[in-house]
Amino acid sequence: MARFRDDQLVRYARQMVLPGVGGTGQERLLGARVLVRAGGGAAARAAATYLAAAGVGRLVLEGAPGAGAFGWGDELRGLNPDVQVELRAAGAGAGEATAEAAGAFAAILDFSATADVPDSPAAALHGAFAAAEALKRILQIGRPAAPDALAEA
Amino acid sequence: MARVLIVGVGGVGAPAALALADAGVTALGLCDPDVVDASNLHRQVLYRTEDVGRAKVDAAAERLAALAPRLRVERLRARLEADSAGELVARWDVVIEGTDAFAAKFAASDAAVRAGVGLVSGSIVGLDATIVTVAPGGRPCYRCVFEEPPAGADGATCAQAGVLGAAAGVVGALAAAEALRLLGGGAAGRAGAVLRYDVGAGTVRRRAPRGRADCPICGKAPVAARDTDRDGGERMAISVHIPTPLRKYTAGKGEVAASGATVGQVLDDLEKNHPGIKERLCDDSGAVRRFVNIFANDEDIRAMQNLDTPVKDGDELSIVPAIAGGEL
Repeated sequence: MARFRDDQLVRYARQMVLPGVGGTGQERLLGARVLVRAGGGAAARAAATYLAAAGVGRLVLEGAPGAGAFGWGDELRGLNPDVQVELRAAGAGAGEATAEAAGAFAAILDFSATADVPDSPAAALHGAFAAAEALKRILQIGRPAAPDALAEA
Repeated sequence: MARVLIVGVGGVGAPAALALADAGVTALGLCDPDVVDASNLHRQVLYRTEDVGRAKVDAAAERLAALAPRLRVERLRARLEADSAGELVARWDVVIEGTDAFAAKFAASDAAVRAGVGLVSGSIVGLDATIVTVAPGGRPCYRCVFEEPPAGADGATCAQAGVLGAAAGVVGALAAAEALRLLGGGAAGRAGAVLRYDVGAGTVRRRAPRGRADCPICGKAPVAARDTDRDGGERMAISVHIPTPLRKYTAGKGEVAASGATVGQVLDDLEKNHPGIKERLCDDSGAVRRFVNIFANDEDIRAMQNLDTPVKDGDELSIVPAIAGGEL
Protein backbone atom coordinates (compact mmCIF):
# COMPACT_ATOMS: atom_id res chain seq x y z
CA MET A 1 0.00 0.00 0.00
CA ALA A 2 2.97 2.27 -0.32
CA ARG A 3 2.09 3.20 -3.86
CA PHE A 4 1.00 6.70 -2.87
CA ARG A 5 2.07 9.19 -0.27
CA ASP A 6 -0.61 10.31 2.20
CA ASP A 7 -0.79 13.76 0.65
CA GLN A 8 -1.35 12.21 -2.78
CA LEU A 9 -4.20 10.06 -1.47
CA VAL A 10 -5.93 13.21 -0.26
CA ARG A 11 -5.09 15.35 -3.28
CA TYR A 12 -6.36 12.81 -5.81
CA ALA A 13 -9.14 11.27 -3.70
CA ARG A 14 -12.02 12.75 -5.72
CA GLN A 15 -10.75 11.48 -9.04
CA MET A 16 -9.48 8.11 -7.77
CA VAL A 17 -13.00 7.32 -6.55
CA LEU A 18 -14.35 7.70 -10.09
CA PRO A 19 -15.42 4.37 -11.59
CA GLY A 20 -12.54 2.88 -13.59
CA VAL A 21 -9.84 5.17 -12.16
CA GLY A 22 -8.61 4.01 -8.75
CA GLY A 23 -4.95 3.61 -7.89
CA THR A 24 -4.15 2.11 -11.29
CA GLY A 25 -5.55 5.11 -13.11
CA GLN A 26 -3.76 7.57 -10.86
CA GLU A 27 -0.48 5.74 -11.48
CA ARG A 28 -1.10 6.03 -15.22
CA LEU A 29 -1.53 9.79 -14.87
CA LEU A 30 1.57 10.21 -12.72
CA GLY A 31 3.58 8.19 -15.23
CA ALA A 32 2.19 9.96 -18.30
CA ARG A 33 4.03 12.44 -20.50
CA VAL A 34 1.78 14.88 -22.38
CA LEU A 35 2.67 17.41 -25.07
CA VAL A 36 0.77 20.71 -25.23
CA ARG A 37 1.37 22.51 -28.54
CA ALA A 38 1.04 26.28 -28.91
CA GLY A 39 1.36 26.29 -25.15
CA GLY A 40 1.39 30.08 -24.84
CA GLY A 41 -2.31 30.64 -25.59
CA ALA A 42 -5.20 30.92 -23.16
CA ALA A 43 -6.80 27.60 -24.11
CA ALA A 44 -3.48 25.78 -23.79
CA ARG A 45 -2.89 27.42 -20.43
CA ALA A 46 -6.27 26.22 -19.16
CA ALA A 47 -5.62 22.71 -20.47
CA ALA A 48 -2.14 22.47 -18.95
CA THR A 49 -3.49 23.75 -15.63
CA TYR A 50 -6.05 20.94 -15.39
CA LEU A 51 -3.55 18.31 -16.54
CA ALA A 52 -1.13 19.47 -13.84
CA ALA A 53 -3.86 19.53 -11.18
CA ALA A 54 -4.84 15.95 -12.09
CA GLY A 55 -1.26 14.78 -11.57
CA VAL A 56 -0.04 14.19 -15.13
CA GLY A 57 3.60 13.53 -14.29
CA ARG A 58 5.37 15.25 -17.15
CA LEU A 59 4.06 18.17 -19.18
CA VAL A 60 5.93 19.34 -22.26
CA LEU A 61 4.80 22.84 -23.23
CA GLU A 62 5.73 23.87 -26.74
CA GLY A 63 5.58 27.52 -27.76
CA ALA A 64 3.71 29.00 -30.68
CA PRO A 65 4.91 31.68 -33.09
CA GLY A 66 4.03 35.02 -31.52
CA ALA A 67 2.82 33.47 -28.29
CA GLY A 68 5.84 34.86 -26.50
CA ALA A 69 7.72 33.38 -23.59
CA PHE A 70 5.96 31.35 -20.96
CA GLY A 71 5.51 33.01 -17.63
CA TRP A 72 3.82 30.08 -16.05
CA GLY A 73 6.00 26.99 -15.91
CA ASP A 74 6.50 27.81 -12.23
CA GLU A 75 2.76 28.39 -11.85
CA LEU A 76 2.10 24.80 -12.81
CA ARG A 77 4.77 23.47 -10.48
CA GLY A 78 3.26 25.54 -7.66
CA LEU A 79 -0.13 24.04 -8.42
CA ASN A 80 1.12 20.49 -8.00
CA PRO A 81 4.62 19.44 -6.90
CA ASP A 82 4.10 16.01 -8.51
CA VAL A 83 4.35 17.56 -11.97
CA GLN A 84 7.51 18.13 -13.98
CA VAL A 85 7.22 20.88 -16.56
CA GLU A 86 9.44 21.06 -19.61
CA LEU A 87 9.33 24.12 -21.88
CA ARG A 88 10.55 24.10 -25.42
CA ALA A 89 10.43 26.31 -28.50
CA ALA A 90 8.02 25.65 -31.34
CA GLY A 91 9.41 23.17 -33.81
CA ALA A 92 11.84 21.63 -31.35
CA GLY A 93 11.58 17.88 -31.34
CA ALA A 94 9.26 17.98 -34.32
CA GLY A 95 9.92 14.31 -34.93
CA GLU A 96 8.29 13.42 -31.64
CA ALA A 97 4.74 13.69 -32.93
CA THR A 98 5.38 10.76 -35.22
CA ALA A 99 7.03 8.96 -32.35
CA GLU A 100 3.76 9.09 -30.38
CA ALA A 101 2.91 5.60 -31.56
CA ALA A 102 6.15 4.46 -29.99
CA GLY A 103 4.99 5.88 -26.70
CA ALA A 104 6.75 9.24 -26.49
CA PHE A 105 3.52 10.93 -25.34
CA ALA A 106 0.38 9.56 -23.77
CA ALA A 107 -1.53 12.43 -25.41
CA ILE A 108 -0.82 15.45 -27.61
CA LEU A 109 -2.97 18.57 -27.32
CA ASP A 110 -2.49 20.96 -30.20
CA PHE A 111 -3.82 24.50 -29.81
CA SER A 112 -2.03 25.98 -32.85
CA ALA A 113 -5.36 26.84 -34.46
CA THR A 114 -6.69 28.68 -31.40
CA ALA A 115 -3.49 30.25 -30.10
CA ASP A 116 -4.72 33.76 -30.88
CA VAL A 117 -8.05 33.50 -29.03
CA PRO A 118 -7.86 35.98 -26.14
CA ASP A 119 -8.60 34.92 -22.59
CA SER A 120 -12.30 34.30 -22.38
CA PRO A 121 -14.77 31.64 -21.33
CA ALA A 122 -14.48 30.20 -24.86
CA ALA A 123 -10.73 29.64 -24.50
CA ALA A 124 -11.17 28.26 -20.98
CA LEU A 125 -13.90 25.93 -22.25
CA HIS A 126 -11.85 24.56 -25.12
CA GLY A 127 -8.81 24.10 -22.91
CA ALA A 128 -10.65 22.33 -20.10
CA PHE A 129 -12.57 20.16 -22.56
CA ALA A 130 -9.37 19.09 -24.33
CA ALA A 131 -7.78 18.32 -20.96
CA ALA A 132 -10.79 16.22 -19.93
CA GLU A 133 -10.54 14.27 -23.18
CA ALA A 134 -6.80 13.70 -22.67
CA LEU A 135 -7.38 12.49 -19.10
CA LYS A 136 -10.11 10.10 -20.30
CA ARG A 137 -7.70 8.72 -22.87
CA ILE A 138 -4.91 8.18 -20.35
CA LEU A 139 -7.32 6.72 -17.79
CA GLN A 140 -9.02 4.61 -20.46
CA ILE A 141 -12.51 5.69 -19.44
CA GLY A 142 -15.45 6.74 -21.64
CA ARG A 143 -15.11 7.23 -25.36
CA PRO A 144 -13.54 10.04 -27.41
CA ALA A 145 -15.61 13.15 -28.14
CA ALA A 146 -16.62 14.01 -31.69
CA PRO A 147 -14.73 16.94 -33.29
CA ASP A 148 -17.86 19.13 -33.11
CA ALA A 149 -18.66 18.19 -29.50
CA LEU A 150 -18.87 21.82 -28.35
CA ALA A 151 -21.18 22.98 -31.17
CA GLU A 152 -24.16 23.37 -28.82
CA ALA A 153 -22.14 24.86 -25.97
CA MET B 1 -19.86 47.36 -16.19
CA ALA B 2 -21.11 43.89 -15.38
CA ARG B 3 -21.08 42.65 -11.81
CA VAL B 4 -21.14 38.88 -11.27
CA LEU B 5 -21.75 37.10 -7.95
CA ILE B 6 -20.25 33.63 -7.62
CA VAL B 7 -21.89 31.52 -4.92
CA GLY B 8 -19.63 28.60 -4.01
CA VAL B 9 -16.03 29.13 -5.13
CA GLY B 10 -15.32 25.43 -5.63
CA GLY B 11 -15.12 22.96 -8.50
CA VAL B 12 -17.52 25.02 -10.61
CA GLY B 13 -17.21 28.51 -9.16
CA ALA B 14 -13.40 28.67 -9.14
CA PRO B 15 -12.98 27.97 -12.87
CA ALA B 16 -15.94 30.25 -13.62
CA ALA B 17 -14.16 33.06 -11.77
CA LEU B 18 -10.96 32.35 -13.71
CA ALA B 19 -12.85 32.35 -17.02
CA LEU B 20 -14.51 35.67 -16.19
CA ALA B 21 -11.41 37.41 -14.85
CA ASP B 22 -10.33 38.53 -18.31
CA ALA B 23 -13.74 38.71 -19.95
CA GLY B 24 -14.50 42.36 -19.30
CA VAL B 25 -16.44 41.86 -16.07
CA THR B 26 -15.80 44.79 -13.73
CA ALA B 27 -16.61 43.20 -10.40
CA LEU B 28 -16.78 39.67 -9.02
CA GLY B 29 -18.42 38.79 -5.71
CA LEU B 30 -17.13 35.61 -4.11
CA CYS B 31 -19.49 33.97 -1.61
CA ASP B 32 -18.22 30.89 0.22
CA PRO B 33 -17.89 29.94 3.90
CA ASP B 34 -15.24 27.23 3.45
CA VAL B 35 -11.48 26.89 3.66
CA VAL B 36 -9.33 25.25 0.98
CA ASP B 37 -8.95 21.51 1.53
CA ALA B 38 -6.16 19.42 -0.02
CA SER B 39 -8.81 17.30 -1.75
CA ASN B 40 -9.99 20.44 -3.60
CA LEU B 41 -6.66 20.96 -5.37
CA HIS B 42 -7.14 18.50 -8.23
CA ARG B 43 -10.00 20.57 -9.66
CA GLN B 44 -10.22 23.98 -7.97
CA VAL B 45 -7.28 25.37 -9.87
CA LEU B 46 -7.52 28.87 -8.40
CA TYR B 47 -5.87 27.43 -5.31
CA ARG B 48 -2.28 26.38 -4.79
CA THR B 49 -0.87 23.80 -2.42
CA GLU B 50 0.12 26.44 0.11
CA ASP B 51 -3.47 27.77 0.23
CA VAL B 52 -4.72 24.68 2.11
CA GLY B 53 -6.43 25.83 5.31
CA ARG B 54 -7.03 29.41 4.12
CA ALA B 55 -10.48 30.88 3.49
CA LYS B 56 -11.40 30.23 -0.12
CA VAL B 57 -12.60 33.78 -0.64
CA ASP B 58 -9.24 35.16 0.54
CA ALA B 59 -7.08 32.80 -1.54
CA ALA B 60 -9.28 33.30 -4.60
CA ALA B 61 -9.39 37.09 -4.28
CA GLU B 62 -5.61 37.33 -4.07
CA ARG B 63 -5.09 35.06 -7.03
CA LEU B 64 -7.62 36.95 -9.15
CA ALA B 65 -6.04 40.28 -8.19
CA ALA B 66 -2.69 39.01 -9.47
CA LEU B 67 -4.19 37.74 -12.72
CA ALA B 68 -6.53 40.66 -13.44
CA PRO B 69 -5.41 43.77 -11.53
CA ARG B 70 -8.32 45.90 -12.77
CA LEU B 71 -11.00 43.48 -11.61
CA ARG B 72 -12.79 44.46 -8.38
CA VAL B 73 -13.28 41.47 -6.10
CA GLU B 74 -15.62 41.46 -3.12
CA ARG B 75 -15.18 38.77 -0.46
CA LEU B 76 -18.32 37.41 1.20
CA ARG B 77 -17.26 34.67 3.58
CA ALA B 78 -20.71 33.22 4.23
CA ARG B 79 -23.07 30.48 3.21
CA LEU B 80 -26.01 31.52 1.05
CA GLU B 81 -29.13 31.06 3.19
CA ALA B 82 -32.73 31.25 2.00
CA ASP B 83 -33.65 34.12 4.35
CA SER B 84 -30.78 36.39 3.33
CA ALA B 85 -30.37 35.36 -0.31
CA GLY B 86 -32.66 38.08 -1.63
CA GLU B 87 -30.60 40.88 -0.16
CA LEU B 88 -27.38 39.25 -1.35
CA VAL B 89 -28.25 38.62 -5.01
CA ALA B 90 -30.08 41.91 -5.63
CA ARG B 91 -26.79 43.83 -5.70
CA TRP B 92 -25.46 41.93 -8.73
CA ASP B 93 -26.23 41.74 -12.46
CA VAL B 94 -26.00 37.96 -12.69
CA VAL B 95 -25.37 35.10 -10.25
CA ILE B 96 -23.35 31.93 -10.86
CA GLU B 97 -24.26 29.23 -8.35
CA GLY B 98 -21.92 26.26 -8.05
CA THR B 99 -22.43 24.87 -4.55
CA ASP B 100 -22.94 21.22 -3.66
CA ALA B 101 -26.11 21.92 -1.68
CA PHE B 102 -29.61 21.64 -3.10
CA ALA B 103 -30.92 24.11 -0.54
CA ALA B 104 -28.52 26.75 -1.87
CA LYS B 105 -29.41 25.96 -5.48
CA PHE B 106 -33.12 26.47 -4.92
CA ALA B 107 -32.59 29.48 -2.65
CA ALA B 108 -30.28 31.19 -5.16
CA SER B 109 -32.72 30.62 -8.02
CA ASP B 110 -35.79 31.75 -6.06
CA ALA B 111 -33.98 34.88 -4.89
CA ALA B 112 -32.58 35.69 -8.34
CA VAL B 113 -36.00 35.37 -10.02
CA ARG B 114 -37.66 37.60 -7.43
CA ALA B 115 -34.89 40.17 -7.80
CA GLY B 116 -35.04 40.07 -11.60
CA VAL B 117 -31.42 38.92 -11.77
CA GLY B 118 -30.19 36.20 -14.15
CA LEU B 119 -28.77 33.01 -12.70
CA VAL B 120 -26.59 30.14 -13.91
CA SER B 121 -26.49 27.03 -11.75
CA GLY B 122 -23.79 24.41 -12.36
CA SER B 123 -23.34 20.91 -10.92
CA ILE B 124 -21.11 17.95 -11.58
CA VAL B 125 -21.17 14.54 -9.93
CA GLY B 126 -19.30 11.57 -11.32
CA LEU B 127 -19.31 11.85 -15.08
CA ASP B 128 -22.54 13.85 -15.32
CA ALA B 129 -22.82 17.60 -15.33
CA THR B 130 -25.82 19.89 -15.61
CA ILE B 131 -25.93 23.64 -16.12
CA VAL B 132 -29.27 25.42 -15.71
CA THR B 133 -29.51 28.97 -17.04
CA VAL B 134 -32.34 31.08 -15.65
CA ALA B 135 -33.07 34.35 -17.44
CA PRO B 136 -34.12 37.39 -15.37
CA GLY B 137 -37.65 36.69 -14.15
CA GLY B 138 -37.39 32.97 -14.81
CA ARG B 139 -39.91 31.13 -16.99
CA PRO B 140 -38.40 28.71 -16.55
CA CYS B 141 -36.47 28.93 -13.29
CA TYR B 142 -34.46 26.25 -11.47
CA ARG B 143 -37.61 25.29 -9.55
CA CYS B 144 -39.48 24.77 -12.83
CA VAL B 145 -36.78 22.38 -13.98
CA PHE B 146 -36.30 20.54 -10.67
CA GLU B 147 -39.39 21.11 -8.56
CA GLU B 148 -37.88 20.22 -5.22
CA PRO B 149 -34.70 18.76 -3.75
CA PRO B 150 -34.37 15.00 -4.09
CA ALA B 151 -35.44 13.18 -0.95
CA GLY B 152 -33.26 10.11 -1.13
CA ALA B 153 -29.87 8.91 -2.20
CA ASP B 154 -30.07 10.40 -5.69
CA GLY B 155 -28.61 13.59 -4.31
CA ALA B 156 -25.17 12.07 -4.71
CA THR B 157 -22.14 14.14 -3.75
CA CYS B 158 -18.82 14.19 -5.50
CA ALA B 159 -17.12 12.68 -2.44
CA GLN B 160 -19.03 9.49 -3.17
CA ALA B 161 -19.17 9.60 -6.96
CA GLY B 162 -15.90 11.41 -7.69
CA VAL B 163 -15.24 14.13 -10.23
CA LEU B 164 -12.74 14.70 -13.02
CA GLY B 165 -11.13 18.08 -12.38
CA ALA B 166 -10.97 19.17 -16.01
CA ALA B 167 -14.65 18.29 -16.42
CA ALA B 168 -15.49 20.61 -13.51
CA GLY B 169 -13.46 23.19 -15.43
CA VAL B 170 -15.68 22.67 -18.45
CA VAL B 171 -18.76 23.26 -16.29
CA GLY B 172 -17.25 26.44 -14.83
CA ALA B 173 -16.37 27.76 -18.29
CA LEU B 174 -19.85 26.91 -19.61
CA ALA B 175 -21.41 28.68 -16.63
CA ALA B 176 -19.23 31.74 -17.26
CA ALA B 177 -20.21 31.78 -20.95
CA GLU B 178 -23.90 31.45 -20.05
CA ALA B 179 -23.56 34.34 -17.58
CA LEU B 180 -22.04 36.52 -20.32
CA ARG B 181 -24.85 35.48 -22.67
CA LEU B 182 -27.44 36.70 -20.15
CA LEU B 183 -25.49 39.93 -19.64
CA GLY B 184 -25.42 40.51 -23.39
CA GLY B 185 -29.15 41.21 -23.32
CA GLY B 186 -31.47 40.91 -26.30
CA ALA B 187 -33.39 37.75 -27.10
CA ALA B 188 -30.42 35.57 -26.11
CA GLY B 189 -30.36 37.26 -22.72
CA ARG B 190 -33.96 36.23 -22.07
CA ALA B 191 -33.58 32.56 -22.96
CA GLY B 192 -33.29 29.88 -20.30
CA ALA B 193 -31.40 26.67 -21.01
CA VAL B 194 -30.42 23.32 -19.61
CA LEU B 195 -26.99 22.13 -20.73
CA ARG B 196 -25.94 18.58 -20.05
CA TYR B 197 -22.31 17.53 -20.28
CA ASP B 198 -21.85 13.76 -20.48
CA VAL B 199 -18.16 13.49 -19.64
CA GLY B 200 -17.80 9.83 -20.60
CA ALA B 201 -19.32 10.37 -24.04
CA GLY B 202 -17.69 13.79 -24.49
CA THR B 203 -20.99 15.44 -25.46
CA VAL B 204 -22.56 18.78 -24.55
CA ARG B 205 -26.28 19.09 -25.28
CA ARG B 206 -28.36 22.26 -24.98
CA ARG B 207 -32.07 22.03 -24.33
CA ALA B 208 -34.82 24.58 -23.83
CA PRO B 209 -36.93 23.67 -20.80
CA ARG B 210 -40.46 25.03 -20.48
CA GLY B 211 -41.64 27.12 -17.59
CA ARG B 212 -44.45 25.74 -15.48
CA ALA B 213 -47.67 27.71 -15.32
CA ASP B 214 -48.06 26.60 -11.72
CA CYS B 215 -44.47 27.35 -10.72
CA PRO B 216 -44.70 29.03 -7.33
CA ILE B 217 -41.77 31.31 -8.19
CA CYS B 218 -42.13 32.38 -11.79
CA GLY B 219 -45.48 30.83 -12.83
CA LYS B 220 -48.63 32.15 -14.54
CA ALA B 221 -47.16 31.79 -18.00
CA PRO B 222 -49.37 29.46 -20.03
CA VAL B 223 -47.66 26.32 -21.22
CA ALA B 224 -48.14 25.86 -24.92
CA ALA B 225 -50.08 22.75 -25.76
CA ARG B 226 -48.16 20.31 -27.86
CA ASP B 227 -49.37 18.71 -31.00
CA THR B 228 -49.86 15.16 -29.89
CA ASP B 229 -51.84 13.26 -32.49
CA ARG B 230 -49.39 10.43 -32.88
CA ASP B 231 -50.74 7.09 -31.88
CA GLY B 232 -48.09 4.41 -31.82
CA GLY B 233 -49.04 0.89 -30.86
CA GLU B 234 -45.99 -1.09 -31.80
CA ARG B 235 -43.00 -1.93 -29.65
CA MET B 236 -39.99 0.04 -30.80
CA ALA B 237 -36.34 0.61 -29.91
CA ILE B 238 -35.62 3.80 -28.01
CA SER B 239 -32.20 4.88 -26.79
CA VAL B 240 -32.26 5.83 -23.10
CA HIS B 241 -29.47 7.90 -21.52
CA ILE B 242 -28.84 6.85 -17.92
CA PRO B 243 -27.23 9.31 -15.45
CA THR B 244 -24.37 8.16 -13.22
CA PRO B 245 -26.39 7.71 -9.99
CA LEU B 246 -28.64 5.18 -11.76
CA ARG B 247 -25.97 3.24 -13.63
CA LYS B 248 -25.77 0.66 -10.87
CA TYR B 249 -29.02 -0.66 -12.33
CA THR B 250 -27.62 -0.86 -15.86
CA ALA B 251 -24.31 -2.57 -15.15
CA GLY B 252 -22.56 0.77 -15.48
CA LYS B 253 -23.96 1.52 -18.93
CA GLY B 254 -24.72 5.16 -19.76
CA GLU B 255 -27.01 4.26 -22.60
CA VAL B 256 -29.44 1.36 -22.95
CA ALA B 257 -32.13 0.40 -25.45
CA ALA B 258 -35.76 0.01 -24.43
CA SER B 259 -39.04 -0.19 -26.26
CA GLY B 260 -42.51 1.27 -25.98
CA ALA B 261 -44.90 3.60 -27.74
CA THR B 262 -44.98 6.12 -24.90
CA VAL B 263 -42.45 7.34 -22.33
CA GLY B 264 -44.35 5.39 -19.65
CA GLN B 265 -44.10 2.15 -21.63
CA VAL B 266 -40.39 2.74 -22.18
CA LEU B 267 -39.89 3.13 -18.42
CA ASP B 268 -41.83 -0.11 -17.81
CA ASP B 269 -39.61 -1.90 -20.31
CA LEU B 270 -36.55 -0.39 -18.65
CA GLU B 271 -37.72 -1.77 -15.29
CA LYS B 272 -38.15 -5.25 -16.82
CA ASN B 273 -34.50 -5.36 -17.88
CA HIS B 274 -33.08 -3.29 -15.03
CA PRO B 275 -35.17 -4.05 -11.93
CA GLY B 276 -35.31 -1.29 -9.35
CA ILE B 277 -34.69 1.62 -11.69
CA LYS B 278 -38.30 2.73 -12.07
CA GLU B 279 -38.74 3.21 -8.36
CA ARG B 280 -35.94 5.77 -8.54
CA LEU B 281 -37.72 7.63 -11.33
CA CYS B 282 -41.37 7.38 -10.34
CA ASP B 283 -43.21 7.64 -7.03
CA ASP B 284 -45.77 5.19 -5.60
CA SER B 285 -48.55 6.68 -7.71
CA GLY B 286 -46.50 6.08 -10.85
CA ALA B 287 -45.83 9.77 -11.53
CA VAL B 288 -42.33 10.98 -12.38
CA ARG B 289 -40.59 12.10 -9.21
CA ARG B 290 -40.41 15.85 -8.85
CA PHE B 291 -36.62 16.05 -8.90
CA VAL B 292 -36.32 13.92 -12.04
CA ASN B 293 -36.53 15.38 -15.52
CA ILE B 294 -37.05 13.27 -18.59
CA PHE B 295 -36.40 14.68 -22.02
CA ALA B 296 -37.73 13.03 -25.18
CA ASN B 297 -35.57 14.24 -28.06
CA ASP B 298 -34.52 17.31 -26.09
CA GLU B 299 -38.07 18.27 -25.10
CA ASP B 300 -39.14 18.14 -21.48
CA ILE B 301 -41.94 15.55 -21.23
CA ARG B 302 -43.69 17.74 -18.64
CA ALA B 303 -44.25 20.25 -21.41
CA MET B 304 -45.76 17.53 -23.57
CA GLN B 305 -47.92 14.66 -22.29
CA ASN B 306 -45.71 13.53 -19.45
CA LEU B 307 -45.60 9.71 -19.32
CA ASP B 308 -48.14 9.54 -22.15
CA THR B 309 -45.79 11.40 -24.48
CA PRO B 310 -45.51 9.29 -27.63
CA VAL B 311 -42.08 8.09 -28.76
CA LYS B 312 -40.95 6.24 -31.83
CA ASP B 313 -38.09 4.12 -33.12
CA GLY B 314 -34.81 6.00 -33.00
CA ASP B 315 -35.98 8.56 -30.43
CA GLU B 316 -33.77 9.41 -27.48
CA LEU B 317 -34.86 9.63 -23.87
CA SER B 318 -32.59 11.44 -21.43
CA ILE B 319 -33.04 11.05 -17.69
CA VAL B 320 -31.73 14.11 -15.84
CA PRO B 321 -32.02 14.03 -12.05
CA ALA B 322 -31.24 17.10 -10.02
CA ILE B 323 -27.64 16.79 -8.86
CA ALA B 324 -25.47 18.81 -6.58
CA GLY B 325 -21.79 18.37 -5.93
CA GLY B 326 -19.74 21.34 -7.02
CA GLU B 327 -17.61 20.50 -4.04
CA LEU B 328 -17.81 18.66 -0.79
